[in-house]
Amino acid sequence: MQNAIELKGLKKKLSSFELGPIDLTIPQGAIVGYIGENGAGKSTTIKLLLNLMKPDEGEIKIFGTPINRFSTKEKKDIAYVFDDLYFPGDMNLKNVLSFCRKFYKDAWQDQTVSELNARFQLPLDVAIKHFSRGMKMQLGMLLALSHNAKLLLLDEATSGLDPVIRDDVLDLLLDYIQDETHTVLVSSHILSDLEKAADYIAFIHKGKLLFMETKDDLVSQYGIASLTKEQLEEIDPKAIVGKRTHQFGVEALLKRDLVPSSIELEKANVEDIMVFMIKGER
Amino acid sequence: MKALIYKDLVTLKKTVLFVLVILAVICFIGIREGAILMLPFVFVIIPLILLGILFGSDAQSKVDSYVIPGPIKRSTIVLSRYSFVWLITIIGILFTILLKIFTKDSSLEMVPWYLIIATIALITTFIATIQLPLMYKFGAEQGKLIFVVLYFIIFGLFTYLGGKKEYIIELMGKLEILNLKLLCLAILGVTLVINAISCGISTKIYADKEF
Repeated sequence: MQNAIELKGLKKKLSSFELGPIDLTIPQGAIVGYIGENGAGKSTTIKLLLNLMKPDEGEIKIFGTPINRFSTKEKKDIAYVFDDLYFPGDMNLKNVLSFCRKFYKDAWQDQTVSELNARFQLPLDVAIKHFSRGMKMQLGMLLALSHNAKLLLLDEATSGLDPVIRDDVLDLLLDYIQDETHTVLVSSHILSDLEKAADYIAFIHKGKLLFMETKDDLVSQYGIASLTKEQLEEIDPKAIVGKRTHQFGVEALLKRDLVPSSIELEKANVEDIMVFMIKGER
Repeated sequence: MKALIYKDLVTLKKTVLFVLVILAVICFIGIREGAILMLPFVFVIIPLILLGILFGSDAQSKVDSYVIPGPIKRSTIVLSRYSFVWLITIIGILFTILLKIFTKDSSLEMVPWYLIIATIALITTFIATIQLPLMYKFGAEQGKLIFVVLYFIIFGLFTYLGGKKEYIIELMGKLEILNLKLLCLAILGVTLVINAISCGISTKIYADKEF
């Protein structure tokens, strides 16, 4: 099967930050969680994918085509939801839908719009500047899912949402991914959501891609141990990914295959792995 | 492009009503004071005002970040702005021709319809051809500053022309000895060239912009 996204040697220098080089391949049909701390480069990567920024070096391909050679027809296959709704605030839902109908033309699916709005119950005549954050995200998802796109990019779309709406968004993503030709890249800080939905986790830190692994492999590779300082000294340093020292000892993220079986390891979730990997440098 | 023009019209809904009211008031005063010839010059300012509002609204809503990744070229996004200016130009031309037909002002009666078309096209689009590349380059806020400067220049021009009505009538008389139709065609040609150059510059600036 074709890859949905291929990044090769991608680099972008900004005033205070350098992204890359990044090599990342996202297979078609997957949900990939793109995680990293604030300022790691998640949004920059997504902006490069959407041609909102131009890379300094490297190649970006979507469905095997370099993005700078995308036709306007092929661009209909890409949908996106940002952390806010980027429409003039005085427009209401009716206006936004009319705009999108003209914008996406024959790709626009009024039936899908009706079904999703029956679910969200968004008001038609209220200016979107009066929408709550949750309503704006629901509208963003509605627009993204209404033109039969094959690739869905979400950039911090669930930040600031309550658990009920976030759960709704996850359900939509899981429905969307039922079609094997559909792919999702979700950039998020809410790692518990990604653990529920993602097939792969890609971790970016200070502009560098530290790993991209299946969620199951990731969780099975690492474990957390609570140790004394003396016990920690006996462990192969290569096994220690990161540690946190506290009053009673040390909590360490360890690679399971490099640690003796006598060390009791607790299951590490994605958030633990991310925090330990970042704090392990300090 | 239809989608973008639709978005712009929705954004300007309230402003357009306000502009129509102002236009009606200016027309009333202009007709009462016998300064009919000045009325078409109002269309110089209308694109200036509306473009400033549109760029401000787009910057505030960051709508470019939604539109650019969509099924549209950046050049089409720029072209939609110039099309908007030409929409106002066509309205200005129709307005002036209607003024010519329904009022009996001597200065306007002397002006043939093809000169109206050529002149209105030039004066309405000329300021926009300078304003648009500057707004694409420097953004809405600095663009508004440019608008204020241009407004005072135009206001000064109006004030100057207001005192030179006889000169304009005399000029019309002198132009009669030229082949006026050819002259109008030349004015229209220059207008189109200026617009094309401006659109090309704006497209280049916008193509390289990052969001």
